Amino acid sequence: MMKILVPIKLCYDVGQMKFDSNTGEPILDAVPRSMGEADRCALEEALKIKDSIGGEVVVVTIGEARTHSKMLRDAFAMGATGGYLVSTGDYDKIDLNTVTMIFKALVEATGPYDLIIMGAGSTDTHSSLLPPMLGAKLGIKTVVGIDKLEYADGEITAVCTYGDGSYTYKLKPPALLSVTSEANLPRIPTIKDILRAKKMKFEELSVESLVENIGKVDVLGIEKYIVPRKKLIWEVDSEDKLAEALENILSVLREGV
Amino acid sequence: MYFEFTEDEEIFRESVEEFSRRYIEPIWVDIDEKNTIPFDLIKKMGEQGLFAIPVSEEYGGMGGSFMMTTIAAEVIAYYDPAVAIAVYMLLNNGWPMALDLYGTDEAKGEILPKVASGDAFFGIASTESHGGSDVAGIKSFAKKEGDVWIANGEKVFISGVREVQELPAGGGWFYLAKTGSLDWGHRNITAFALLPKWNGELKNGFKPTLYEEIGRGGLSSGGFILEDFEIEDKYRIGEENKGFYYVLEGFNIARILVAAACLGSAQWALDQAAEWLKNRKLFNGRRLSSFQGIHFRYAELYAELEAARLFTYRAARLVDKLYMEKDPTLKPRDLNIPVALAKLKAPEAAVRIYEEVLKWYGAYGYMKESNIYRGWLGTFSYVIGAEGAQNIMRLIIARDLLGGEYIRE
Ligand SMILES: Cc1cc2nc3c(=O)[nH]c(=O)nc-3n(C[C@H](O)[C@H](O)[C@H](O)COP(=O)(O)OP(=O)(O)OC[C@H]3O[C@@H](n4cnc5c(N)ncnc54)[C@H](O)[C@@H]3O)c2cc1C
Repeated sequence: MMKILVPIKLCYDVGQMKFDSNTGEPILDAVPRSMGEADRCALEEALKIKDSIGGEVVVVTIGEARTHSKMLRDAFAMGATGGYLVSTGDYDKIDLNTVTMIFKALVEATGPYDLIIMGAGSTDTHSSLLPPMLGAKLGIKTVVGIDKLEYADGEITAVCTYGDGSYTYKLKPPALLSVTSEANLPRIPTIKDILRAKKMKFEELSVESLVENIGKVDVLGIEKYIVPRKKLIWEVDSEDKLAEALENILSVLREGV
Repeated sequence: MYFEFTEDEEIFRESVEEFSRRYIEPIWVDIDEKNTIPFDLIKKMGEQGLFAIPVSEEYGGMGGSFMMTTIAAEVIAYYDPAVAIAVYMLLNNGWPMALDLYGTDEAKGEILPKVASGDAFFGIASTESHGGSDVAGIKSFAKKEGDVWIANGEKVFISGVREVQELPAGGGWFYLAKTGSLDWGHRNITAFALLPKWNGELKNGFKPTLYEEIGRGGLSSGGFILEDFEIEDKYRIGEENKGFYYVLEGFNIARILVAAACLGSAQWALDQAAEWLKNRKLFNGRRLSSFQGIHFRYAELYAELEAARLFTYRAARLVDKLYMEKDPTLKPRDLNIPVALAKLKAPEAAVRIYEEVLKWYGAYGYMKESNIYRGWLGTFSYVIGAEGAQNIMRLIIARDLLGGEYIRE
C-alpha cells in the first residue's frame, strides 16, 4: 500500500495561443487550460503503481475552485483517490520558492507520502525547477526528468535521458520523482469514470494556512517568440557562378538560417 | 463559443477529443477508402463508453446525459469528418435509448449490454421503397401467431446491414411494421427490436443486399427482405399499434445527434480553411484571408454554424430535461420544433461550408489528396434525408407553428 502525492498544474494549451497583432502579447482569456501534459503522465505513473499494489493517489494544485475544480475532477476521473486545492486567487503570480514551500508544508500537514511524482516541467512555463527544489527542501531522494519508470518489489527503476546519454537509477521510497511527457500514454477517463468523479470532493486549504510569507512575481509581459529570418540573395549571371552560389547556400543551410 | 456546460460535460468532451486524436484521426481516411470501420476500433469505443451513453446503467448503458451523447457525436465527426464513425456511434446511442424507453425488460437486458460493449449494432429500419418520408405508408406487415410475430416485407437504404451480419454478436434495428387494419392510417404500426443475427446466429427469413454509397464509406447501407421472419413478442417495443409515436420520439433523439455530427465535420472544414486562407498568398503576396470577399464569407459561414450549434445544444438539453430529469412540464412533442430546427440547419450549414471551402482550396480541393470532399459527401447524406428529409423538417416546423389543419389542405 503506497501513498503517493501528485502535484498538478493548470496550464495554458500553448498550441491554441493567439497573439495580439499590435502588441505581440498573448490573448490568454481565450486559451483553454487543462492539466499539464507531463503532470498527466506523472499521475498515470502513480495510478499504475496504485493499480498494481493498491494505495492512495492524492493530487494537489494551487488555484481557485472556480478555475481549478475541473482539473481536480479530471484527475479523480483518471483514478486519483483524493485531492487538495490550496486556494488563492493569485496563483499565477506566486514565485517558485513560495510554491516549493507550499508543497513542503502540505506534505508535512497531510503526509507522510511514500512517493511524490510530478511532471518534469509544465506545458506553459517549463522551468523544470520545482521538482528538484521540492526534493531538496524535503530532504528526500530525488530523480528528475524520468522517461521510463518502473516499480516492482519495493524498488523504483527510473531511466532518464540527459544530454550525454541514458541513465538508469534504482532507489527505494520515500522519493521524489519527476517524469517527462515521454514517460507514458496517460489513460483516458471513460464516461463512467467521469460520472463517478462528479460525486467526489476535494479539500480546500487556504494558502495562508500553509505558508506565512507569500512571495509574488509580476509577469510584465509575454511576447511571441519569432524566429528571426534572414533574406539572402545571390545573383548568378553566368553558369560558372552557379556552383559557387549553391556552395554558399549550402553553407548557410549548414549553419542554420 | 459560449454555452454553459457542466464540469463533467467539459471533461467528457476533452476525453473524447483525446480518444479521437489517438484512435480515429490517424485512420479516418483509410476507413473512408476501405469502406469499413475496423472492429478493434469499435471495441475500443465500447470500452471507452461511447455506445449506449444515455441508456440506464441497469441495462448495461453508461447512465450519461443526452448532452454528453451529443458532444461525443460532434467531437468524433471532427476527427472523422467523413462521418461514418460518428454515424455508427450516434445510431448506437439514439436507437438504444429509444429501446430503453419503450422496450421490454427482457429485450433491454439482452440487447443493450451487447450494444454498449460494441459487440452488437442497433440502428433504425423504417424506410421502404415507396418513399422514406412517408413513414405511415409503410407496407411491411407483421401478424401475430401465438407468442410470435411473423414479419414480411422489404426495407431499403438501411444503415448497418453489413455490420449486423459481421459483428460477433450481430444486432439489428428498431423496426416498423403494420400490425393493424390498413384503414387506421398511422395508428396501425408496431415497433419491434428486429435481430436477424443474434448471439452470433443468423436467423431464417432474412435476405440482405448491400448498396454502394458515394460517401461516409466506413458504414454500410443496404436493404433486406423479410420472408416469414419470426419475432418473439418480447421484442415488441411498447404497445401494439403505437409504433408510429415511438419512432417519432426516436427520430427526434437521433436527429439531434445527426445535427451534432454535421457540426463537428463542418468545424473541421472551417478549421482547415482557416489555415489555408491565412497561408495561401497571391497577387503580390497577399494572403487569401485578407480579401474581403473571402473573410466576409468565412464569417457568414461561421455564423451559420454557430446558429446551428445553439439549436443543437438547446435541443439536447431539452431531451435531458424530458427523459432524464422527467420535467413534468415537457411532453415529447415539445421537442418537435427545436429538433427540426437543428436537423434543418446543421446539415445545410455543413454542406454550404464544404462547398465554399472546396472553392477556397481551388484546384487542390478537387484533388482526392485534400480529403475535403470526403466530409462534403459524408454530410450530404443528411441534407438528402438520412433520419428525415429537409422538407420534412420544414413540414414539422410549419405544422406545429401554423397548426396541422392549415397545411394539410
Ligand atoms: C446514407 C443514408 C443512410 C440511411 N440510413 C437509413 C437507416 O438506417 N434507416 C432508415 O430507415 N432509413 C435510412 N435512410 C433513408 C432515409 O431515412 C430516407 O432517405 C429519408 O427518410 C427520405 O426518404 P427517401 O429517400 O425515400 O425520399 P422521399 O421520401 O421520396 O423524398 C424525396 C424528396 O421529396 C421531398 N419530400 C418528401 N415529402 C415531401 C412533402 N410532403 N413536401 C415536400 N417535399 C417532400 C423530400 O424532402 C426529398 O427531397 C438513409 C438514407 C441515406 C441517404
